[in-house]
Amino acid sequence: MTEDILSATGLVRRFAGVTAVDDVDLSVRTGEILGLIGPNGAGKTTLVNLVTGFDRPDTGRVFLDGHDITRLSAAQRSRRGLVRTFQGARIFGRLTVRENLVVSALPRLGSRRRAESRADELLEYGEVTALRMTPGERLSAGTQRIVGLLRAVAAQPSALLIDEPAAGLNEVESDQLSRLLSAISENMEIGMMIIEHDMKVIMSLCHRVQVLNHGRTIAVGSPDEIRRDPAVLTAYLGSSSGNAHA
Amino acid sequence: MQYLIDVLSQGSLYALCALGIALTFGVMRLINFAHGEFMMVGGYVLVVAGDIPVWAALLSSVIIVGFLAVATERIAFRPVRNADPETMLVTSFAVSFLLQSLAVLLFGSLGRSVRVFPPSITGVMHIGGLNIRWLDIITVAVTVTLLVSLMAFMKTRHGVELRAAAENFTVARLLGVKANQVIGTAFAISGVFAAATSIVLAAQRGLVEPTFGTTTMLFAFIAVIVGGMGSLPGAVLGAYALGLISVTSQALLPLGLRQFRDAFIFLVVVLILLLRPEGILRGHAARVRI
Repeated sequence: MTEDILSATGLVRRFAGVTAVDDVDLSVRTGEILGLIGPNGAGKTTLVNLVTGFDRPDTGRVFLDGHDITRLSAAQRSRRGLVRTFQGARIFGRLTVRENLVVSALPRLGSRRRAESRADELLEYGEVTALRMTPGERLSAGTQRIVGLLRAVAAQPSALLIDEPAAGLNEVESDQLSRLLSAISENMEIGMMIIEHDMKVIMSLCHRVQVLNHGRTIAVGSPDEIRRDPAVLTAYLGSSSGNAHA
Repeated sequence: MQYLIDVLSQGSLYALCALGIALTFGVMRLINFAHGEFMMVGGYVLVVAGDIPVWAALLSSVIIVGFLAVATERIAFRPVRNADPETMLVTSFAVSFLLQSLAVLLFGSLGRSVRVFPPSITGVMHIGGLNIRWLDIITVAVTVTLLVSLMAFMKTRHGVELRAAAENFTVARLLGVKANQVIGTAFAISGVFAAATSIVLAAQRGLVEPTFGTTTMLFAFIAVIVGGMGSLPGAVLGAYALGLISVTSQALLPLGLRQFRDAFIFLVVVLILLLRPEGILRGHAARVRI
């Protein structure tokens, strides 16, 4: 278990009689991409909130690099290397692309000069150098996601949670984002967890996939195993979002 | 031309005040009604300073109001930082009344006269039929200087953090921006702008009273709202628009109606807000937040 960069055991969260997350474990190793999927209302968002510190579990623990972070706030977790991206990127629209990355790199690197050179490196890495002086609000949705991802990476996280990276993107944009995600995973020492509805993205990108339904883990395994898992098929076909084969 | 100078001068005064208000609103969604009292304190510093050299009086005003703004944040606003905007608003009323009452206690409710600049530079220049007051030039120059400095500051490390926090405080904090530091900075700068406004205002009026800052602050608030709540360029734009409306209605209204000038100004403001409810430049406060 010590090689897991991010892990959780026995997480439970109840809301007024509904158990949104019911005894869920998870683990992510450095260099690994874990996909988290499940029908709407399966408890994905609640689980992410528990892991990132936006919400606290009723029972259960969260560990980052072997340290118990269950009681830490989201900002404290972020400072320790557990960084998340947001649905719809949430980049700063009035800051330039480069400034978006600089803000994120500053706390770790301390000086503005170092933060800027880190930002420039990453902009090149994500092939968006040409846009470095463009205000965030002028970017297309796809580019905003890329910048949001680069901004998270600029904080030099050891674990990265990526919330619906492909939602609302077209095919080309989502392919571009997938390529960047896998490049980051291969070249940087980061454990990644991706929450995503787009099965194509999940199946092509993730090393392991964990499926939630009604707040419980119903399957964990390789993309191929998950594709064939009868419990997963039932869960998806039994709900409105029957896109397990997409 | 004369008209343009009046617009610039009036707009600059509003802009100085509006920027101070927009800064603290941007970073913590605080509608700071005590901003006018920051200006009032700046005015009384000039009264008390009396005969010391002009530069020393101005500097003390800036420093004291700057510290007052930071101290107010520490003592009054930090405890309610995560409360509803209404709670923060009421807190700012409390600070406002407290400072006004203190002023009445210390200096009386009647005005105290003040001479900010020596008479040599309070006169009027005559250039080709134009009457240009030195004070108008000073007002515009101070505003432009502070605006340029503010823009330069916004490119620095702390400036970038401030802009990020003003746009989305939650995300900025998660990225490691320190809340106390960034809010403290915003208040310090807001205090400097309040002091600058008070210097210009004291020089114009020659009188400081407990309600010294109230009217200007009210107009500056309108400028901030018209410009787009939370947007700094919007606040400046709104301020000059308000200056324009104010000077224009002064010039165009028939003599009998001039005493209702402010009512006409507000009428125009209402019309603008009916057409663009989010302000001239859309403030980010109007956008969806996490």
